[in-house]
Amino acid sequence: MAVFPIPHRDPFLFLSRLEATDGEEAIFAYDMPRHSDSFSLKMFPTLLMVEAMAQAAAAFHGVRMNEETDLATQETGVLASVDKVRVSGRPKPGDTLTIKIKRRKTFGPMVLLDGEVWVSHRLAASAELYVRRGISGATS
Amino acid sequence: MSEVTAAQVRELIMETLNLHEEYEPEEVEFDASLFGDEGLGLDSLDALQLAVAVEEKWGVTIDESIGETVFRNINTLAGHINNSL
Repeated sequence: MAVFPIPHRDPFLFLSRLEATDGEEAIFAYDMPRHSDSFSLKMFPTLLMVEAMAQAAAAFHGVRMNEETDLATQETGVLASVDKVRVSGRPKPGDTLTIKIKRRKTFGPMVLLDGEVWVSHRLAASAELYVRRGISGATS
Repeated sequence: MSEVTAAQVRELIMETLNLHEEYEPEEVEFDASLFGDEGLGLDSLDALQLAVAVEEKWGVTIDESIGETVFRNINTLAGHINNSL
């Protein structure tokens, strides 16, 4: 599993890899395990989709794509607020979550991002996430 | 478009930042500081939420570069909105 510039670690890390970023938006993926000692639930809890978007938003600020590695840690983000959460689906064990994060507005140290969770080309959740930039965090 | 009043801006601030539980509208003076220890004591998260709310309601953008001036108080914010309409 990739190391992201946020302090979260398995089993409470809901990002498996960074698939793409262009500086304004990023796409992460999370492979939900079919079997887990930590989660015996048959469905992925709704709240954890919000957590996955929050982790992706925070990690987005620490992610710099380069040609040598898929991730390099420069800075991180700290979640400040979540708003307008909408849930329209619930992933099942074995599903891959596609987590899309897009920067909408920056104001001082604060950034507003739009987050979405997609499962099998269907929107499962969305939210507005407010993240504070530039605070160092764990990188390993 | 008709002029945006300071009272309308105050209402947007109070609604966006959930200030109705803390203040009565008339307690929030139009020339009181929005940020800092005096006045409402808003923070950087409030500033971003307020900038987004103004943009959504009146279509007026508030960039970071002018934020300190525009967000000085309700009167300055209303003035910026009206100058931009």
